[in-house]
Amino acid sequence: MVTFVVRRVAYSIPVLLIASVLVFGFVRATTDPLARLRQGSRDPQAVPRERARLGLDKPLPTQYWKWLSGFVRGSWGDSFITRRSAAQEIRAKLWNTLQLIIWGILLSALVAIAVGVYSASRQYSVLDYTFTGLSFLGLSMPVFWFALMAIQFLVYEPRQIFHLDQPILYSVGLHSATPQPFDYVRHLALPVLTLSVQLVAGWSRYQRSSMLDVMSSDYIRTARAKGLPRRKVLLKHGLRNALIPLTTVMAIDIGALFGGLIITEKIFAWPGMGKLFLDALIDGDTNVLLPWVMVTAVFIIGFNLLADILYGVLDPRIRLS
Amino acid sequence: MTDLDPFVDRQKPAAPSGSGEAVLSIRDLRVQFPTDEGVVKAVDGVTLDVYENEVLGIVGESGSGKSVTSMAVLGLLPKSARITGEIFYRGRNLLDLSERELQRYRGEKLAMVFQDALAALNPVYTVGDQIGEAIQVHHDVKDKAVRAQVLHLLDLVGIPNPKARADQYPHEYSGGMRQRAMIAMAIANDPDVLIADEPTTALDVTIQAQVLEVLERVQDRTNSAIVLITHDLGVVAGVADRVLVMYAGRPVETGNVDQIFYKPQHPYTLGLLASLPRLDQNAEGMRLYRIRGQPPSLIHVPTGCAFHPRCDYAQLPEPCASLEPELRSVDDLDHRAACHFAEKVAGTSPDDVRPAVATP
Amino acid sequence: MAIRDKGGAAEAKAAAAVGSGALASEATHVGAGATVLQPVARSQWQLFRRRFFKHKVAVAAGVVLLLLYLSAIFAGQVTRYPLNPNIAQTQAQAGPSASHWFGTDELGRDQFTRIIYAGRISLAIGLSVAVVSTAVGSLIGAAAGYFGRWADQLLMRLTDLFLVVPALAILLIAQKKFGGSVPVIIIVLSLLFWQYIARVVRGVFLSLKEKEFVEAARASGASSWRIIFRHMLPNAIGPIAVNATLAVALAILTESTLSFLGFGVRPPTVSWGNMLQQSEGAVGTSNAYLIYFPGLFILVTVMAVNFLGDGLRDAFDPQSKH
Repeated sequence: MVTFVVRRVAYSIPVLLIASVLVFGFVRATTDPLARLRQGSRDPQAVPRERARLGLDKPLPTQYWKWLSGFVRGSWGDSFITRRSAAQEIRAKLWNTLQLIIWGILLSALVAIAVGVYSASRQYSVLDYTFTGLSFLGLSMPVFWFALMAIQFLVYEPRQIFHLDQPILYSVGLHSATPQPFDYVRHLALPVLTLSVQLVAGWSRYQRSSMLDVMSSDYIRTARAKGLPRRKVLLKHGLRNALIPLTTVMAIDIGALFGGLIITEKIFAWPGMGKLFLDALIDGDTNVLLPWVMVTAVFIIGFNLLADILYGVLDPRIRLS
Repeated sequence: MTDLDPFVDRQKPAAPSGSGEAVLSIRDLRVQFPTDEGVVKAVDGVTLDVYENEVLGIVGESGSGKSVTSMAVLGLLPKSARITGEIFYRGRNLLDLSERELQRYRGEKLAMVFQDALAALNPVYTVGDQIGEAIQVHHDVKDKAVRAQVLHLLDLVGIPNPKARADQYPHEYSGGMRQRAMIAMAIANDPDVLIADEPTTALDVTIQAQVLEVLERVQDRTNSAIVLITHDLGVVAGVADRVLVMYAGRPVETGNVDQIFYKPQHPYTLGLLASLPRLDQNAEGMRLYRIRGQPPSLIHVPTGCAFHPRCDYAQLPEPCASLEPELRSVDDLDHRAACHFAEKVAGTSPDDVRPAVATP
Repeated sequence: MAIRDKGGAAEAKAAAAVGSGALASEATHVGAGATVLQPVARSQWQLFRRRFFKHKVAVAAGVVLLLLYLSAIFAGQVTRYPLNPNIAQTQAQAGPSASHWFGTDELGRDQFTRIIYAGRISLAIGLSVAVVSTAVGSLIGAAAGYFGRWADQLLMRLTDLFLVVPALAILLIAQKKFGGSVPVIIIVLSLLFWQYIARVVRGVFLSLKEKEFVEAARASGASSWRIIFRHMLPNAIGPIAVNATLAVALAILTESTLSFLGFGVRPPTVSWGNMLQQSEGAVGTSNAYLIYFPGLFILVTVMAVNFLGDGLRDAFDPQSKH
């Protein structure tokens, strides 16, 4: 197991390096950090001065090397726009995104597993078909539209209908200007709901399929032959096996979430990684963009690795071979 | 019978030692499955009795209905199955029981050993856990006592080093050991009826013998009735007291082992015996015998006697293609065959059936 | 004798069934060696068609998609109003009504008309991206799977690189630079999507490579490419078709997302995504209806594609569990 992890990590490093080169070149080629300055300033010396200050006049490989050596040492430069350190920006926003992710996966995992188990045990029932239909709905849903509709119908409509002073659920940011009761939850609810829609849709179908697979196994029949009640067979023998592949899928999906909440955070003005990325992109803030890509890549790789490890831990057949 | 006769091997008496009440009685069991292509008649009128302390061997090819019969006893058939008839366990009709009531019998009074032990054991729990679970489902016993019992059971079925083995996972066992662990799990609560569905099929011949020996040992201890389901006549010969031969979901012959093997009265049984390769005879000039034709569709079962398309004794169309023969005895009362011409068959020996090939 | 037997093979099977035991489960043992005359074997295509049409939902989805594509092609015939009218301001910001089914926006443009024309763009992009990425991805995946070793390693490492970075982020960066014309979007999306198909096809080819018919073809002197195209690719049609439909769905969703953020199709070209970008401010106002319909069309289209893909998957391989 240890050798496996070491080998995987060792393999990831060159991948990360090559990716960083490509991303660096890509971002440099496509983003101009001086765009704003070009438009806004009247001083003809402003642009070349800033260019020299940022080191943008050096050849690309030199720039890359300078950036890379700085990156691994933890000095990621400062945001061109906010002038704060990129590391600080990312750290702060990462924490906010993390909150969304944690609540999101908690909610989604519970719902998805429950739905999946139920659907598998009552295959072809009305509820099963309903859940399948809803899953398709969730998988086909344009996230940004769902968010907008959610805001419309869960924030504005209730407020109008019930003539409220404050909406029940908030759709902007992390907290209100003046503290409200249950402020945190009320701000969290809609973004988490939005992010859960997709997760639940995919996971519940996967869980259903996994359960169906497992429940047709011989050892389920053996468990019943021993006299175990149906529920116990389902949960103790079935679920335990069916969860193994699901947890690996979940781990991979979670890894992708760190860079994947761009739309949700934008619409709900949630100050997280996604919003940070969009702002940096629009402003051409490469000092933020580059570490952003690296950080999210590390999370993706890390969680993919976790998925593989989990599989080994949960399945004795792999753990002990 | 000569000394070379491979069938004389055991020291147990031929007759069932428990007399009187049958532990398990099946009366006219029929099981049907509706499918897209039609109704599959998996079991079509099985009647049998099993007594204490005996081994009943049920023999037949795939599709003969033997496994479905045993699953019906334990109530493990899928919901789509249409079941009629009666299955009596010590007087109670199991088919009348609710799922909850059946659960109390399963694993305790009626137990089953399945064929592929690697697939039949949960890969994520230790063998000890699974055997212990069999006990704890039916008895409120403390963990320590359960553990002791588990070790005792593992020892009983001949698994070395039970303490270490109990904490291992099924994939860490060898094939024969796994099967023995399954047996240990099945007998954990001293069942009255132990059904073994093809317990040796997936194993090497030498391991087969070990597993069968475990079954016999187990019976000595528990006095349970054993129903041994198999397609392998050799297994039956070595272990069974009585035999039921099935074909196309129907019983075709029943009797004790000697009667079945030495004086078969049904053409199918005769064909099965004839197709066994004999090592004790001069094989020169002999061809391997096979029953002509193929196993029938269970949706479109042949009319009358299901075996008639492949039968050398059949007289068509009357009576073999029109009248389904009933199980009836020719000489002994407890030796019965479902054939219109059982008397004719009774006189034939398997050797006579095998064709000879003229040597050049 | 009433029934003719099917020859030695069947008899041997019967004997083998007794002697060594075929392991078929009894409950599903149906019709083996039926003593009834067999019907003529149907062609693969007919079997596929039969299985597909049993799926009512998939068929309905196909019909819906057909209607959508037809209305996109014949947009002029389907809509009553011009795309950019010179209507008096009083017609503007009207909610859904009999004359304007989906209402009008602040410039007086009929929303239904815009949605139909936007459908052209979104559906065209969806289809094009799927076609291009499937074609490219299948070829590359086939080559990697068939030739193996360095070709395979190259493919895997290349796709690994793409996998570690968030796709949307990369797309956004690319789109910022390369702009918002439709062909560019198609190319950019295809450059990302081909690898998913490539990995699938590679997997299929890896397993097909071991099959006997490939060896037979090689033994009879067929060239590698001939083997790939004539023998192996037809066998991979199932997964390819299913993934191609998934690509359509994903492409439509991605394009609309990019357009919503302003990095996709740029005005004056209409797409469902950029309609929502323009109407985002209508949330919470009396013009909220401007949000409903473009998104609804995206949803319905993608759902239809997904249901269709599901039906295709079942029709190609009834055993696949889901």
